[in-house]
Amino acid sequence: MPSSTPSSSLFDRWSATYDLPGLQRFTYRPIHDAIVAQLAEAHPSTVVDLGCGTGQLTRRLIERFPDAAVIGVDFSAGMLAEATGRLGPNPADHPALVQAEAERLPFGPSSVDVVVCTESFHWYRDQAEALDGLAEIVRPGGRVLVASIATMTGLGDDIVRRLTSRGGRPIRALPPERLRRLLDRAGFEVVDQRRVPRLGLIGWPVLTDARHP
Amino acid sequence: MTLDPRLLEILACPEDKGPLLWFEGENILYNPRLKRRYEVNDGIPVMLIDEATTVDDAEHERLVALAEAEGIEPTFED
Repeated sequence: MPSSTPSSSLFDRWSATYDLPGLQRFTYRPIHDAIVAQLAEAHPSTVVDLGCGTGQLTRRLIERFPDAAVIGVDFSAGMLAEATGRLGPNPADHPALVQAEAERLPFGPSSVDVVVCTESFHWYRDQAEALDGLAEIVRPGGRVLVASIATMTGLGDDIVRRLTSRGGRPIRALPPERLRRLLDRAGFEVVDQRRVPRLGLIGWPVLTDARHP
Repeated sequence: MTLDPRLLEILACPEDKGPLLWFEGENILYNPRLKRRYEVNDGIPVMLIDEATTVDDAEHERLVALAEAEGIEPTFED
């Protein structure tokens, strides 16, 4: 069989993107499922998806909380443009999108019930500052759910940060215990923390659920 | 372009965390305390301090007068 027929070259080109939905499904969906399950009993009126990227979880949160204001926040204009392009025809299903930095969120005091933050926390320039900001905007009784890649020890954390710093954008993957301490210091109370199993070579992320007293 | 009213209710300046004035006709959010203007691109408020513009006194006066004339209220009570 000839190795380079027109149809095989079509498949070659197709393969570059063919698996992407699968990649999405296996890496992100388990985390999104865990977040939605963790919020099973919640009745928020305002939800912020911090680091919403292309808005996959944001759209699920709208399905889950149809009466809430769901706001997607991302630092990247490109990600938000992509999120806008994926919105369906019904404006009622659209999240409000805002371009902002995690450390400088543009929301008033005690204005948000739930903040979810998946796979973006390790990118923040200043994680302690971001959590202090969240303590200001989350209402008493509100919650912050952080799902982030995590190293087992502080040693692994330092190695990851040092390796990724060379690329100019250090990944600050925290051991779960250190994230717990950061949340405590910002005035949150960690009520649950566990690893979320998923397929693949990337480490299991940790989901941390914290309440604002 | 309109903004979701439930977003507007809580939208604040990322710097001083205070309320903003929303000028729908000009697609801008304005913080009169810092004289700082944030653009709204394709319905997405760009709430980045580095991308905001500080306006001069004349523009500040114009925006404050316009808010008064059009009955534009701050996004929330300070």
